[in-house]
Parts: sequence; C-alpha cells; structure tokens
Amino acid sequence: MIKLQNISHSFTGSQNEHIPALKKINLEIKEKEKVVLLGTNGSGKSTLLKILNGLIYPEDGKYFYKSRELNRAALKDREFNKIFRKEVVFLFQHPDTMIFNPTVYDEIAFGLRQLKVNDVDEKVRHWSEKFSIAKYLNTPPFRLSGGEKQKVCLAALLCLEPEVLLLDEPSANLDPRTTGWLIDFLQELPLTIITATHNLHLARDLGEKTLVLSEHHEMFYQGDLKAFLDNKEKLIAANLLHVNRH
Amino acid sequence: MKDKLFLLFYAAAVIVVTSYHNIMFLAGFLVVMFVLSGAQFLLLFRKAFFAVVFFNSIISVSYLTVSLIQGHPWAQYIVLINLRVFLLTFMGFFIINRVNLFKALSFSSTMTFILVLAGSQILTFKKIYDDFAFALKSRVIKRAQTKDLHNYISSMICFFLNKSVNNSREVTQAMRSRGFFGD
Repeated sequence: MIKLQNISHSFTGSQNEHIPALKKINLEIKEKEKVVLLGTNGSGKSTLLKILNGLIYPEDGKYFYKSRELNRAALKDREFNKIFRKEVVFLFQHPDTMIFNPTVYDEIAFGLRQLKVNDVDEKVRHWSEKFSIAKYLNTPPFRLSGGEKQKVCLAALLCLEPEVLLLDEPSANLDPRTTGWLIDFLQELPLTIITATHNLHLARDLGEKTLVLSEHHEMFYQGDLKAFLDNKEKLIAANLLHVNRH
Repeated sequence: MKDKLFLLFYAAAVIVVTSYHNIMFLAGFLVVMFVLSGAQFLLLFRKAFFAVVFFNSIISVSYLTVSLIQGHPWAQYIVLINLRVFLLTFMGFFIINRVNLFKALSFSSTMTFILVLAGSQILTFKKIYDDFAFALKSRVIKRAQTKDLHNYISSMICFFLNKSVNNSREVTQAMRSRGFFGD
C-alpha cells in the first residue's frame, strides 16, 4: 500500500546550513498493518509522517501510494488529491493546530461537507457519540480540554472513512485514562495505522510492526515490534533505553 | 569577532538610514546592499518585499488619499518611507543570514539571556505556525471556501494571542522562581 524508496530529506537552518532529517529510508507498509514509528526526539519521525501525508516532498527518493508515485505533480491532479486527502489522514501532535471551526459540529462536518456527503448530520452524530463528545456539538472546540480536542480531531478524520491513519505522538497531551481509551480504540480500528512515538510503554500496544529511526536519521531497524522491544541491546543502541547507574 | 563587527556595522547603518532623508543616498545604499548580498540577492529581495508589502501599501495608500484631499505634495514622502522601510528590512535579513547573534551578543549576559528567550519563543511559534499550515493542507479535500479561511485565520490568531499571554506568564514565573527579579 505504501512504499518508500531511498527517501532523503533535509532542512535549511538559520545560518543556511543543511540539517538532515531523513537519510535513504526504504520501507513498505501493507494494507491494515499497524506500524509503530520509534525514534528519539529529532530523529525524523514527524518529517516522515509529513512526507507520508504528502505535506512535504522528499529531496531524494520515491514515495508510492497504492502503486502511484506521490509527488508534487500527482497531488496537483485534483481528482487524485481529493482521493488521497480522504484516504490518508493525519492527527497532528497538537490538536489546536487542526481546529478552526466555530463549533464541534462544524469541525466534524468540515471534511464531509467538502466531499458533499448527503448524510452529514447523521455521520456527525454517529461519530460524536462514538467519541462521547455529543454533548459538546454546539461548543467552540477551543474551549475543550486537550483530550476532548484530540477526540474531536479523531472524529473529524475518521468520519471520512479513511484507509490510512497517521498519528504523531497521539498520547502527548492525554491523561492516563484517555491514553488507555485511545489505545483500545486504535487496536480495534480496521485501518492501516502508523503511529509515531518515543513512549516504549505505549508502543507495545500500538501495533505489530516497528520502524526505528536512528539519531543519524537512518532506518535503524524494521520488523517485529515485540522482538525489538524485548531486545535490550538494540533499544540501548537506538538510544531508546537508558540504563541507570544505580 | 566577525559577528560583533557585523552587528556593529548593522547598528550604525540603521542609525544612518533612519536619520538621513536624502532619497538618492538611500537608493545608493540599497544598491550597495544588493551588490553585497551576491548570490542571495533574489532570496533576500523576495523575503524583504513580502515582509513589507502589506504594511507599506496601507500606509502609502492612506497617506496618498489624505494628501490628495488636502492638496499636499505626496510623492517624495511616499518614495522616502517605502525606500527606507525596504532598505531596513533588506538589511535585517542580510545581517540575520550572516551573523550568529549568540556570538555577536556574547559580551552581555543580559542580552544573551533576552536573545535566548526571544529565540526559543520564535522557534516554538514557527513550528506551531508550520503545523497550522500543514494541518489545513492535510484536511482540505477540495479548495477551502472563504468562510473556512476566515475561520482558520481567526482561530490561528486567537491561538497565538492566548499562547503568547500564557507563555509570557510562564516565562515570568520561571524567571521569578530562579531569582531573576531579586524579589
């Protein structure tokens, strides 16, 4: 479903220096696979998710989505862009950046209205009930707590019935109870899910496959998640585990 | 040392450019800056142009309207103000591209401290601003309607205003906690 070939990307710093973000990344993700993207802060996890969502284009390498190369030209094709934006959705780390409608109802209905879906009202009510946010439908979303905003964003994305869900540190703003709820919810979703996190405790419950980025922005490991999490030496080498001196 | 000299040159140039009112002199200064910018000329020109075009257009049109109603001459003032603002902005981008401000201000711990605070705020805000833009791009399936763009811009402005107030409060509390205010 998703294939990356030799993807490299870098950013320009304030002094015009090149700051590498990803180096020669190769990966393949099958339909309905649940993948956990691990790596330390600054290893390139968010950049990789943005490339997968077609928000930035890699400097080098190729990205194939359902066998079609995804590049600037492909996303300029309006019909393909519409399909891609409906099928591949992205939950940003800070839900505030995704919220801009006057009410929770409008926030959830935003994508449905763009798609000119007939039963917008029915779908909004269904998803708001599923996320227990129906009582807030007339409330401005910015008045909600971090966890509730996260639920509004998820409802707004999932009501489009996407095929791929990209999540960037989804538990960063959540309390333990909401985090537990989110993990249960994600486990039951029949979608391809790619979750970026550096939280090893959560990682185990978020998928069956892992992609691990090194501090040098290279692919350090890809394969079975549980095997990786049980391998202390690999965790230390990837700088995901620290052994205390005492 | 190079960074300190560049910053000193910049400070002196700002004083000269803001206190000297000869259009030919300012135009000549701008040409010199263009030449000095070398290969980065187009990049800096574009940045400076887009940074001033909105604000300067409003000022120029307002001044022109009032001058025409009152029958006052307007051409010299409009050329002067636009030239000066563009030159100062171009110089600002030129110097930012060449000077490591941390090295340039290393002679004063207070200045370095203020720079760190300002820098961290700018970086945080820039990252969030980029995420706002990416989130809109990601969620827009068809072209966004004007109403959606109004909602998006107003929500972003509200977010940044709230965040600025909250951040300022937190930074002040953190500084007080670490004994910065001596109370």
